[in-house]
Amino acid sequence: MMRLFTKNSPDCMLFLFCFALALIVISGCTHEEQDKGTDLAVDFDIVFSGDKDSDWPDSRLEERFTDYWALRFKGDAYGIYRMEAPYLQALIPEGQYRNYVRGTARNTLSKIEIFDISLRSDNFVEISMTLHFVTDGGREQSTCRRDRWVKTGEEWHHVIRDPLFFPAAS
Amino acid sequence: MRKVKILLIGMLVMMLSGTAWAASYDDHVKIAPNNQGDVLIFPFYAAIDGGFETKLTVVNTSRTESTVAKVVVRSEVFSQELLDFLIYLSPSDVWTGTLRWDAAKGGPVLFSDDDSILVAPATFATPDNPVNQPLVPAAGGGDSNMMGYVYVINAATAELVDDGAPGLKVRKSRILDWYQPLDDIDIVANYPPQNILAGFMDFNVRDAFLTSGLNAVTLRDYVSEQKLTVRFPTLLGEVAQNNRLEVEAVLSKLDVSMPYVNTDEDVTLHFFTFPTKYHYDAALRDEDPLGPFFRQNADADFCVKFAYEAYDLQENKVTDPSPIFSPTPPEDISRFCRELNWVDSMQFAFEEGFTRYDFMDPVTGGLNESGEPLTYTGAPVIPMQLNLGQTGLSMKYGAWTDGIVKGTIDRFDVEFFDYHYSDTPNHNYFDYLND
Repeated sequence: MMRLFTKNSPDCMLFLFCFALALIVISGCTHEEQDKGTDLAVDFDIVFSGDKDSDWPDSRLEERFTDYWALRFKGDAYGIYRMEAPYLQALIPEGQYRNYVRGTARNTLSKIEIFDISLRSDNFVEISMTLHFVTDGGREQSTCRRDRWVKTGEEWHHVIRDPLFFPAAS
Repeated sequence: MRKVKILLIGMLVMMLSGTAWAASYDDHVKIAPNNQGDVLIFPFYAAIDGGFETKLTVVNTSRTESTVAKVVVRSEVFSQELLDFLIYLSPSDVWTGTLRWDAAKGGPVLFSDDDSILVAPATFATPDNPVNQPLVPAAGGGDSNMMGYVYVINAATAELVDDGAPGLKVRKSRILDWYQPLDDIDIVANYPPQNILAGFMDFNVRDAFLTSGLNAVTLRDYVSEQKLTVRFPTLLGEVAQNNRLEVEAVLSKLDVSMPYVNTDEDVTLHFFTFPTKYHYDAALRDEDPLGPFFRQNADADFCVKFAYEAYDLQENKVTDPSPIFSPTPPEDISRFCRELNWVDSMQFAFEEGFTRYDFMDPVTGGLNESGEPLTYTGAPVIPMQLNLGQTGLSMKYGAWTDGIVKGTIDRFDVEFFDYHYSDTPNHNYFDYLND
């Protein structure tokens, strides 16, 4: 005979308790994930060096640039994927993008050193820079990049650069 | 009459000494299965402004011999020489350098703080005074200095004694002082390069913890016969005991197979490097590409034709004949036109499987460095793959069918079995003739 829960049976109470516990755990995980994406406390420095006089052509670009690298080093692939140029979001599968950037969260960004900000056109900017970071093993490292940003509509979008895996962006 | 007799005796001696004349068949450049040799080919490098960089490691595996080797960096489309330099390796020494994009220099550089490379005349690099040398810009035509390939040729090897160094160590200045006054004749007679180099590469995006490594393709018994310097370009198959045809013969492959994954999360790139084409140097000399294969088999654009079939995990391929419809889909045929080419798995119809690339049976012929006829089938290519997926980044070489290499001994065409890896079968052939 099929066993049924009755409203006040111990089995029913146990089931409800487990269900509630599961909900708490799931919502807790989700909350943590969301926090990772929305907590934009910036704990790294952005400094200018090099010979050329560089300045941000647009304060909104500075904001977006700072947010992008803060999110990237927090491991928020979801957030930074949506900061990429819309045409890149159409061309690059989100899963591949996530695999490409996810390891960054193992490092802690300490400083971005900007050598040059070149306004290639009113809507396209290249930023030559060095990322200084500390690995999860405590080792200080740095890598250089030329970060690209394009203004589409009223917003600045990042342009990921990799002629191998994302040739459409290069 | 006496003259005729001498001539006949001379001809008889030449006929009987046929095996001695065939020394080059018997002792040619080979792929080193143990990864120690005198030529290292890194089939791929990237120094991209989006984060990818390539660390090169060259090891002198000898415990007693010092050696000097030349490193040559070439571009992806035309093999333009982008940077070359010498490394000075004491016994059991290692040189490391990284090809990476540099923000301050605004382009790709070689960075090395290793004391095996000169940072200035007679001054070796240190962590406080490293090499940070820009690669020259590519000349155009779609070429780039952010990707390409690298090779290392061992120049000269010697057991040096250094009274000024502790223990059995040899200072770099001692190696430099030894190498600088040498000429070609000294090297050939007294200090021929030995099969003691090993090479490794790491390809990575350090801030993203994406990294993967690969051995260099290693050739042994190549034997450069020239004092290598930075004043002149150094090309594989020139001024050595083996010419370019012989280098191509050991790299020859009839077909290549490599697995792939092609999903929303995984992507595979199949790379094909042709290190003997030398399009750029050929243009400087007003010639066709320098590799015999490309002169004899490439099309009018000096591109290499190939057919490919992508299989899924159930042995299906796109070009399988349908039991109910005809015609059969045509085989995919494409061309490799660059020195470094790659194929993206996105164009394969399945999510996972392997692809077989067929070079359509080309035959290349000519004379080896000793003037003996040599032919081979297949293309002189190095295949490798790069995969980015859920498990990170990985690199590996492909699998292949070796090209068939033939020579002519005593007017007979002879197929050299395992020519790519060994002289031994040819020794056996000579023993057979002599018995």
